[in-house]
Amino acid sequence: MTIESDVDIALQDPRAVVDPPATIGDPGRAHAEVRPLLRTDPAHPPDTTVDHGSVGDLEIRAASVRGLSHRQNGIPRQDAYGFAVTAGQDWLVAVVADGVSAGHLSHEAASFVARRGPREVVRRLDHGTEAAELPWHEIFTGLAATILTEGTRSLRRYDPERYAADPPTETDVAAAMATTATFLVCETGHRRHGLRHVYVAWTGDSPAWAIAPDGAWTSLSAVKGEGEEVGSSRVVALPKVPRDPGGLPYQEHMLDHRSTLLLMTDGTGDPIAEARGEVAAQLAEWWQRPPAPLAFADQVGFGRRSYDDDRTVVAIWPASPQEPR
Amino acid sequence: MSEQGILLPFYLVVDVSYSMAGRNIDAANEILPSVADALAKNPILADKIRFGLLDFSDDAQVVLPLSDMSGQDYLPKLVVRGGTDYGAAFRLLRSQLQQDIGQLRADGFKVHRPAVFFLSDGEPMDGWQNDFAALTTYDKETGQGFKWYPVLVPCGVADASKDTMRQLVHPPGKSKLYTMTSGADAAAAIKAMAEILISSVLSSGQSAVDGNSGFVLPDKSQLPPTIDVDDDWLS
Repeated sequence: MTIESDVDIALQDPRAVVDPPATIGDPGRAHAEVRPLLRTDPAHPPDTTVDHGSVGDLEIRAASVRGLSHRQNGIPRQDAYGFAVTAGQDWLVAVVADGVSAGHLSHEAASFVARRGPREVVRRLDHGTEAAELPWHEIFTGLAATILTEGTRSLRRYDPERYAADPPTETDVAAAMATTATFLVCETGHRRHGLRHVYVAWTGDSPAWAIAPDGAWTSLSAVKGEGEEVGSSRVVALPKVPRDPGGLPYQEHMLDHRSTLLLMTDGTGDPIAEARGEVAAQLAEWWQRPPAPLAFADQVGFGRRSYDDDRTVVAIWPASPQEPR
Repeated sequence: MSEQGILLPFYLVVDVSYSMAGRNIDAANEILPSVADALAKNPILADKIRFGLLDFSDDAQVVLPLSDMSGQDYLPKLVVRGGTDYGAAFRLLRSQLQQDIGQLRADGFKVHRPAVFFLSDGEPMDGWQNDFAALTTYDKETGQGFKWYPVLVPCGVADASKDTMRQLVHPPGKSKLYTMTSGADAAAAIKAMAEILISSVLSSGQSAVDGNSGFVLPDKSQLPPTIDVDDDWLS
């Protein structure tokens, strides 16, 4: 198809060159019918953010998409993601953060973690800390302190009268803003035998997965509600940090370097569930190789009945020499 | 954990004994379209709610099987017949719950405990207690009884006795008894019950959207003036 003919089609019907929005299974009504309230507050994050790029041997896509419920009610997207790369370009650090919906400023907490978190990890790697020796408890505690400091400022700005005499307490801040955080630290090259080192540390319920070249899913963190009859919605979230450093979950993996690595919030993790159904199968098909960035964002926001939470996915592929970079 | 999302099943069970004839049954027939309208305006909640309608007199019938209410071109009507046998209603309700919840779970949905609004205008025939017990009794420790027992919300109008209806509140603490204020018009009270039902459907659905689970009944302050609520439970 030539470019001219594309233009012709577009002139006849502007929708003809745009694929219908991605859905998996029964999309329900909300995905097609919700009319998003326009974001007018510049302090709120955009409805959707997308990134793409490459580092070392890796090709990256990231998208954070406001959930249908937040769109309908004009509530800001409370998910965020962030990256950092070591000075030598040999380690990529990614994070996803899911602001807890009960806090009206949780989008700020998620944003602090996304902006500061990867930098804090990379700073330590650049100072010679081995990836396997990263002091995660210290990193999470530092992020919690950032949330408390920045949160105190935000609350005062948000409600100056209430906090005129007494500044907000830590409890006030934690009630107004809380967020999950899941970090993935990954070698940008790969070692001998085609294996890649991946480290995952997290607090809360934002999962990390790997899809092997054959389409098989492996959990790199914890599967929510596994073995539970009824899922619990209680989440450990920053600025709360377990007092015992051993209470912070952490996993190390050696993966086939051709695997797709996925870091996501539960808006995507919940419909994937234990990665045995049609959602996991469809995503594995879409994300066998890196899609076009805007197609990736559309796929992250796939329609599926009764799933209306914010969605965020950071996806990492080995760059293929056959593909245009 | 399922990969199909959360569903909240609601049932309305309506007494269609002869005493309901006229304006009362007309008012009851407005409930289903009102629920459909409320859900049509809110696709997010509509994706989470399933609604079913049962009627009963001497026997009980499924009028609208548990469904997602969208794209329903035709909404069935209630027609009066016979006497008032609560037992028949409870037996059918139990078998429907067993079938519907079982099917939804088999389809991979995470199903919230069903809520049943039970609308009656008169005294039942004797002998319903055993059927009520079979519908509502469950022992979590032993697994004995009916695992998918509903939250049963009795709504009494006209001659429905408060003493009888109070026995249907289940589980106490989660459910409440709604009755018509004395001297109110029964048809108006049925309309008011419909408001309570729709408010409950919407706020329960929103609670699920917000990541909480919980069947929600409207706050006392939001009740229409024709309705008394009885929720002074001593535990």
